[in-house]
Amino acid sequence: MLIRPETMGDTWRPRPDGPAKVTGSLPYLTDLVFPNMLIGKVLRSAYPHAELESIDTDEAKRLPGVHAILTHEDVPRMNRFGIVMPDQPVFCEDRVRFVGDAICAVAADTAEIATQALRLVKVVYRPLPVVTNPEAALTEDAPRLHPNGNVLHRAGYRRGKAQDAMADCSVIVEETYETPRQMHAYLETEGGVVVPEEDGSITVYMGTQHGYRDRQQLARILAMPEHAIRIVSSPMGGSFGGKDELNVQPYAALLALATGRPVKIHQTRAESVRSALKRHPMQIHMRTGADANGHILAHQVSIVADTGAYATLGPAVLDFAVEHATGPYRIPNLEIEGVSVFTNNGVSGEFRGFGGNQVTFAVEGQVERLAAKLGIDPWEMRRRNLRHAEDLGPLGQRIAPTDGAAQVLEAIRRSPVWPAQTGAAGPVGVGSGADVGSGSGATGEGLPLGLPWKRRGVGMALAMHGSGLGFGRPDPAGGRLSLMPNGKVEVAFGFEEVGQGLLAVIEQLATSELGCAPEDLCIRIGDTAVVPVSGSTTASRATNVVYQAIRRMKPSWQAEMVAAAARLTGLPAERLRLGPGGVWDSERMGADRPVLSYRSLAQQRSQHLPTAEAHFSFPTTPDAVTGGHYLYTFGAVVAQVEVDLLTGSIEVRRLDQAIAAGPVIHPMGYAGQIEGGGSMALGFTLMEDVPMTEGFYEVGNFDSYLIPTIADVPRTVDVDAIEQLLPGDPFGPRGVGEIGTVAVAPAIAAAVHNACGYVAHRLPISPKEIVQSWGDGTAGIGHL
Amino acid sequence: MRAFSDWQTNKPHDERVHDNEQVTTSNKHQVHDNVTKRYAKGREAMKPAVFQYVRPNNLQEALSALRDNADAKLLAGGQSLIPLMNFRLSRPTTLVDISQLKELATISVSEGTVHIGGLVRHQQLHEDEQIREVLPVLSKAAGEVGHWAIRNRGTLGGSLSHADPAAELPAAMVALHATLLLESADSAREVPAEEFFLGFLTTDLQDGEMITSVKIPVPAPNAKYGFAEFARRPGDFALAGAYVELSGEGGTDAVTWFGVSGGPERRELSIAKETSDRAEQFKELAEEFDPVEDPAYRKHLAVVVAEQAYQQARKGQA
Ligand SMILES: Cc1cc2nc3c(=O)[nH]c(=O)nc-3n(C[C@H](O)[C@H](O)[C@H](O)COP(=O)(O)OP(=O)(O)OC[C@H]3O[C@@H](n4cnc5c(N)ncnc54)[C@H](O)[C@@H]3O)c2cc1C
Repeated sequence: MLIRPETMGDTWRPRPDGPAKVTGSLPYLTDLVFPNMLIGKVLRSAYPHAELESIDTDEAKRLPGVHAILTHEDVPRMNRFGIVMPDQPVFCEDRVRFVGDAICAVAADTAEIATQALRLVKVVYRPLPVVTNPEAALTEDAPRLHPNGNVLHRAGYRRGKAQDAMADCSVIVEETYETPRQMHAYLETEGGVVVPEEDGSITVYMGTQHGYRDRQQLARILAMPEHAIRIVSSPMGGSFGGKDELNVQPYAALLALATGRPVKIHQTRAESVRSALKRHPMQIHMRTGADANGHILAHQVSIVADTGAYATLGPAVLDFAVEHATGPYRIPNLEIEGVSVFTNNGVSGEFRGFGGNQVTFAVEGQVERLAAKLGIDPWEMRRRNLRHAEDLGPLGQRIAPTDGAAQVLEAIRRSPVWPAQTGAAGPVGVGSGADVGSGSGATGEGLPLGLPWKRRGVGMALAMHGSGLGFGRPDPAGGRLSLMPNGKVEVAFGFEEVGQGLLAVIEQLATSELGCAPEDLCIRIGDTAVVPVSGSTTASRATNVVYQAIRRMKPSWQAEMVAAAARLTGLPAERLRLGPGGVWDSERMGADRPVLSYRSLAQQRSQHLPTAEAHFSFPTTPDAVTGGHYLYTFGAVVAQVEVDLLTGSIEVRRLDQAIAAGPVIHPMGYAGQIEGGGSMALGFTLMEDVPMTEGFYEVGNFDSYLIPTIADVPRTVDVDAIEQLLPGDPFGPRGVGEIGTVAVAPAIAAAVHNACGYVAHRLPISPKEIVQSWGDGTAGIGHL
Repeated sequence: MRAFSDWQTNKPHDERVHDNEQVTTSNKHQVHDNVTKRYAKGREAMKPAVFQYVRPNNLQEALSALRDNADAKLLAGGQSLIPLMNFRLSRPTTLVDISQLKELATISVSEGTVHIGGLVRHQQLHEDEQIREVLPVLSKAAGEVGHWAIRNRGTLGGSLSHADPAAELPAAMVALHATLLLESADSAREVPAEEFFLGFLTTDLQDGEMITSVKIPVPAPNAKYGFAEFARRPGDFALAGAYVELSGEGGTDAVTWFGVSGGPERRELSIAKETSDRAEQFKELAEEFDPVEDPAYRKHLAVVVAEQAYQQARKGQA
């Protein structure tokens, strides 16, 4: 089903938080101002790797307007944080490992005084040799960055005998792919306010993707019981995975406790670039072989991820990359290994796609190369290798049966720009480029406009993407419904609105399942004082959790509400239904109002108001395979590009996506996730990278970090939502927050190859290299 | 000569190296250099240093204010000056706000000369009917400056005075044989554009002087101009740009580049008929340039934009 406003009916409506966001009237947590509030700032390391000889804050402390300066000595309990293994110092004690490491933090009357104070802090560093990349980190004599060395994590998976099977292959392709250090580039940088309350507790108003886990981490640092910490974490101006880990919460909390006053920290963009997470740059080596009919027999993969100075979710990202390195294909012989390596670079962590985007670029590149070598149409090549509905998961684990892969592949045929419906061998326009170019075969057609230096090409790619945290990781889920004294139906989830449109999903599901109207709802999220545990707002899981929770709560909720209404109205319970505004008499549905409004019900009941709760775990595979997923979504991308051979610039004209993720809940949000995800991935493919030299960021702001603007994204994006699940599938809608980013890079790369013969193995695709692939670069001029 | 003195007096320095003196290491200098190099670029924006603000009612008042206040600076569209001040790369003592001086925001054509006031905004230049008619190439180039919001504020005088090497308008002035009228409280002089731009952010503008207008000769009927540029994203500063002038019978043809060196680069040449020869000519000329980043690619782009500008000129499109 193509998502189009015309065909969506009533469900095509803006998200509840949309108008306030686009008009700028929505207050974010970083907009909060409290009486008596101080401003906090954090001093970050001047060196990527050094011993700390001394930290002298005396002079800074004497600066008028300074209220506190804290160092590691002031951390009450655990001076570390990190979601899986807390190894990142809140404040460094004796050593710094990257330029974002915190040395001390100050609270002052104004930001200017705070900045000034940090300048007065005297830090004596003894610089150490800098470990600039994973390769260097793995050498014998590399400085050890952590007690256990420089390897954060190894992961791997084997099936059959890949090495032996290579001998049976007619073609083998071998390539090393490289992907960039992408920045999340959320509009709202990290920040918010921590308020010390009268009862000795604190309230933390800062964006995150899992309030309860922030609470847990902060409790360890602050030596406070968890119940004395309230996390208000919604709304926020974007996260994309980047704010799942703690960032400035500990500093504001420590300063607030030290001064007894509210402390606001809001990082500047430069501070954010320097200290916050990025996407793992990966080097992925693949050797893949197929028989003459195009059946892939063997696939050898080696992944090296630069995880930077500290762990955060580095291990899980690597596990995910290993799991998804086969794509949605049946490959009998597999040998996959990965290593995530500490360096003195910025910390890499969670980022929309979670390691899948990097390996999908690589594995889809392999499929394209094999198809080209064998002269098989790239669509057909994929069809021949595609997984079947009942197949096991990529790690050999049992998964929820799904024909999503076949569905999205089939959808490509419906795309108006995909020309190869015939299944005939060879990509579009093969052959015409023999006169110029790299001679690598496929060359798209010149434009009909008489601009022979512009070439159009089409490419496709597939992706398979697990949702939920995976086997072996606690993945609690839940929700709560309650009738409030004012008659509103409170729908509460321990999730955050990070920009993904969660409020719209909750509103849509609550109204459609529970019968009430949007106005009847009071949606509560992002506040540990009032929400139940739902797990993290990550891993494309929230929509599914909301769906499952509401379905689980529905029967008891309805029963309790109807029973209460029956008692109050004297009507038999069987006749009563929950509907907009209240409880309706099913024999008088034509009435202009319910027999009992929710408000009257609440007022007349006054005590023991109906409530329902759900507690469960996110569906996971029964097989003990660490990180292995159970629910998967699938995506197919068709990209059409226009390459300017003279400048190397690439215009993406279309970026159509077919997504198999179960029923669409909120069409506008669904399309928004896929279109927006596509744009973000377009940046990953064509322009985004934060290079580091000797441990220093080469980029400090958006002046030199290019992200796509509206002028760079395609005017036409078709989103084809495949809603049918296999009969009997009880799990409902899967999330679509990530899948729209996963297969974009390989589709664009294939389209570029199709257009001009340039084969990209490194992202972002370099215009310079495209030009160079055409000889000395000026060869194309003759076409002008 | 007024070099862009702020760059020299307030050299970007690293504010994050706390007390370097105490760095005890044999490779101290090496490390320190790195820090400086990196963070000069990633330097943080903040609020500007303290300054006085005056808003004169007319040109005379403006020029007097400029004379009477040492280290005063004109504020026009603010699209270059304000960012520099926020980075503390510029610390004027006084801002003389000329943005409301409508008398300087006029465009007229008389007796074979186009007069453009120093305060004409880029968007105004882009949309002006007379400019579209007599200098379509200038209209087109003005439309390529940054984004719409920037064009609504940025001014011709500001752009010429700022002299960013990748800016469209300084090179346009050189390509179109413009003369700048520079006025101060006590004097006025005319300087040909080609002599005005002296290098990276450096011009012949003297203390107390303002660019009040430029005049450009209306091109001869058979003269043709072309303009092309390349930027990574629409609205970004160009990686390379060029104007080509085909002056018709008897005149000299020329190419004027920007974005490839410290300022506008005009080269006369007798443009070859054959594409490949022309590419060779452009290539030879571009060899002189030494762009800092990606030199080979940038020089290649210089050739490409020159050829594209040539094609535009030949077809009389711009
Ligand atoms: C995001 C962004 C993108 C941009 N992209 C481009 C681009 O692609 N191409 C491009 O060319 N420019 C670009 N610019 C710069 C823009 O064109 C500026 O408008 C221009 O450089 C300066 O004009 P202004 O009127 O804003 O000058 P101001 O910023 O007000 O002043 C700049 C300097 O000129 C001096 N000055 C101003 N007026 C006069 C005068 N009449 N006589 C003498 N001195 C004067 C000031 O004292 C100051 O030193 C961009 C700017 C931004 C913020």
